[in-house]
Amino acid sequence: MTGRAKSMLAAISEWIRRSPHVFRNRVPFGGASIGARLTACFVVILLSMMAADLVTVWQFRRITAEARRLVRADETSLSVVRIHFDVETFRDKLAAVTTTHDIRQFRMEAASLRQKFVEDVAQSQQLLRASDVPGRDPAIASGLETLRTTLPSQLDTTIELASAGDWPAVDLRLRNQVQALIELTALLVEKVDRDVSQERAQAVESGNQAHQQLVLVLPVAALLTLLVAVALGWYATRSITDPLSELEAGAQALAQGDFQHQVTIRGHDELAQLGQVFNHTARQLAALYETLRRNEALFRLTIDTIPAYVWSALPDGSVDFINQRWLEFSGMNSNQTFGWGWEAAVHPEDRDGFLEAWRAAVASGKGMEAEARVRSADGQYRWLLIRNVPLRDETGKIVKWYGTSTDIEDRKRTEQTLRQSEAYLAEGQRLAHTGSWAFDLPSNRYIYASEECLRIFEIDAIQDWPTREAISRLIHPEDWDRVNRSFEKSVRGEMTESEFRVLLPSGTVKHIQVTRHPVLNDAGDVARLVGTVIDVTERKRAEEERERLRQLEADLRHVNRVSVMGELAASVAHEVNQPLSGVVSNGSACLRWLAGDVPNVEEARETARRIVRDGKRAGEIIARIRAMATKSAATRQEELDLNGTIREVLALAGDEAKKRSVVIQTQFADDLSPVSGDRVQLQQVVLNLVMNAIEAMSSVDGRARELVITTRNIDAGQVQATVRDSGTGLDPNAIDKAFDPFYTTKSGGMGMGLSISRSIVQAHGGRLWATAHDGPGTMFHFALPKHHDRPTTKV
Amino acid sequence: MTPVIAVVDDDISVRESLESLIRSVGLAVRVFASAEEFLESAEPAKTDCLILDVRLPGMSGIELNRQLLDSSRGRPVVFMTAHGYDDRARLEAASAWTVACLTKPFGEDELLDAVQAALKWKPSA
Repeated sequence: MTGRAKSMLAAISEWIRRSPHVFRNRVPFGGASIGARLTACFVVILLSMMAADLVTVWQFRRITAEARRLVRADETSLSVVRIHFDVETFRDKLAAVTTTHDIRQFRMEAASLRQKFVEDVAQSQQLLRASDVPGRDPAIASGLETLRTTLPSQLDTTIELASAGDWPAVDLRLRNQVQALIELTALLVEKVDRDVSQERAQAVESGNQAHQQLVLVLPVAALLTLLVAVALGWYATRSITDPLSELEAGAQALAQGDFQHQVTIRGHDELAQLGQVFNHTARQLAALYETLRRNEALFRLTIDTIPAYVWSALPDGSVDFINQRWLEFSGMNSNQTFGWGWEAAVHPEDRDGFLEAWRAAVASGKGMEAEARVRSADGQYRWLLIRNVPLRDETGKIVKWYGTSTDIEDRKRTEQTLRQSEAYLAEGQRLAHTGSWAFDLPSNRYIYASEECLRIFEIDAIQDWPTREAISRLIHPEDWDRVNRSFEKSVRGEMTESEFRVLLPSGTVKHIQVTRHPVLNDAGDVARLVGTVIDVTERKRAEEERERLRQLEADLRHVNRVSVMGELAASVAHEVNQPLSGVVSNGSACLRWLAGDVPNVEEARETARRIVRDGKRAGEIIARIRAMATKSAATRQEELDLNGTIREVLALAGDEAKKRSVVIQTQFADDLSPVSGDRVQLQQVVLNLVMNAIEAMSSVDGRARELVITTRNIDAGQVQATVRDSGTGLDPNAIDKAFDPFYTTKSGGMGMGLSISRSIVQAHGGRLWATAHDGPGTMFHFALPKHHDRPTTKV
Repeated sequence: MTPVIAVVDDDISVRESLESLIRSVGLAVRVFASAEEFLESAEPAKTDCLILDVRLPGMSGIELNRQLLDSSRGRPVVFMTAHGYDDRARLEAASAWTVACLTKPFGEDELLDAVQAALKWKPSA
């Protein structure tokens, strides 16, 4: 038995040892589904468990059977013993009754004993038949049969004897006949006992044997069942895990991008179907990947071909892709560019600003746009317009940055040129004091104003473009209507020009000249006005100054003319002719009023009154002219700054001096006290002296023609002016004569200038004199009393 | 209808004396101190003869005459001047409607003859 078990275990271990090889190549029952396979495994395990149980049960039955055999043997033995006792009891009880000779009791005991005896014999016979032991002594069965038949007959005979009252016969019979039966039963007991003990021994041995077998069979059956379960479990596991691990390997291969990987299909179970699906998926993926790869190649080609520089960057801002075009442009390779390497190509002046903007964009997650100069492969920097935008996932997290840049070098150059042109234009406008502007009719607002225009209107910066009304408010009220009419004309399509004053918020008044040119829209309506604005304040001032000087000159000329005899006469004639004309006409009228048939005395009187008036007037004119001609009248008395008075004369004489190459120098006392007098007359004096000096130097050659005018306070009451020339000079003896009327050294002169000048100065309470110069030339001086310090002037 | 004579002169003596003299011969007179004053009045159309000073403050007599001519409102004009020697003014004063140019002071006949001539004046072609 042990040997058989050993050989079985060896066979199983050999099978297990070989099984991986078997499973590696194929899965047994691979055609069945996993569920069916698992069910089959469980069934087999259950069957093996049941077989083990059957063996065990069988062994138990054997033991039980042997036990029953033992019991039966004991029962047989006991039943025979009981018969023996029954017979003995029969003899003893009947013997006792025999002594009493009680027939009734005897019959009763006999009946009871007989019944019990018959029952016991029948039981013994049944037991013996049931336990049919081979080799049993046949005398046992026959003895029992003999007893069964003999005892009742004996009893019947005994009863008959008792009934007959033959008690001694009964007693005798009991002692002889029954004794023989007792001995027979004793013999039977012995025989049965012998028979039974043999059978008991057999049963005990058989029971022991069954017990031993059970001890062996139970663990073996359990072990076998376990082995079967393990083997089937291992098989079931392997049949699932093997394809699964192959699928896992396939999935890993897919994950690593090996789309060509195919798993081996074995059987037709669910895993095989999964494997087929996997293989199909892998093929599909491979096809997709190929398409994708082709698309990517096409995309890459597109990215590299489009006329822009394109890149992508990681969320931290480091570049992880850049297109070929950029690499060609910059002359850098990918590795030099990736990360933050590209920044080396940015112009040093732009680098910090650009990096700051880029970092700020990365930090804030907002797209950026910047311009920077970037070095190209030939070392030249070009302006690029750079734009970056973030790509976000569905949660809003930035997963990538994409950027492009476009070459805007040409645009930048144009812009620069334009800016330069604008700067030149602005400078030109500034120099010309001419601004330009544009006005939009529909919005009623100015929409453009050049720098100079803003400067003219003293506007620092435009926040809101002003309306027409806002600018109109600056116009001088006296000019407003006129300018407004002009503006309206332009609105109707005419080109207009206005010159007007503006009152600026700073309080400045400016004269400006504006031209307006209407601009038509497509419909032919005036949509805008464009124009210029010129600050003519300076020009206006210069004009006013010129006008003042012209007037001054005219005044001086007038005085000059008056001083000349012929012109004096003309002036006298004009002044006097007016009232004289009145006198004549009034006279005529008067005569006519009186000459009528009825003299109109009232009219005549009136005209006569006018004659008197006009006559007086003529007399006054004559007297005034005479006073001037005789230099006795200082016509006006005003406070004068002699320095300023002289400067005005020099402005008039400047041209003449230049023409004659004379350099005029002034040495004016800054603290010169004011004088009182007639500006025009005193200027005539200065002009006379200056012109004389210039003329005196006209023949000077070989040395500087120099005219120096000095003013100073000579004492508490007087100021003095000196005109010094570097001319030929005067004969010291002739100096005094120079002031006489009609004295002249000039061919074209009348000899009245110095004479009149002296008269004028004297009329102002001053004096005019000449001195010889240390060097060449002459010095003329005049002294005038200070304002308030002068003596009372004669009228 | 009495002819209307307009006198334009800035000098009051001349204005008043001429007004009296012309009125004394029975003509109607209007006097003006400047050319502008004359133009602003309603007189130009009603005036039969103008007596104009050559030199006036503002618009001169010569300019006034020119303006009337330009606007086809020419009237016979007698010019007066206090500058007897001013030949240039005489030349400038000459026009189709210029009847005479008198030098102040002038005699009454001189003036009245000129006025009479003016009242009959037909502008030269």
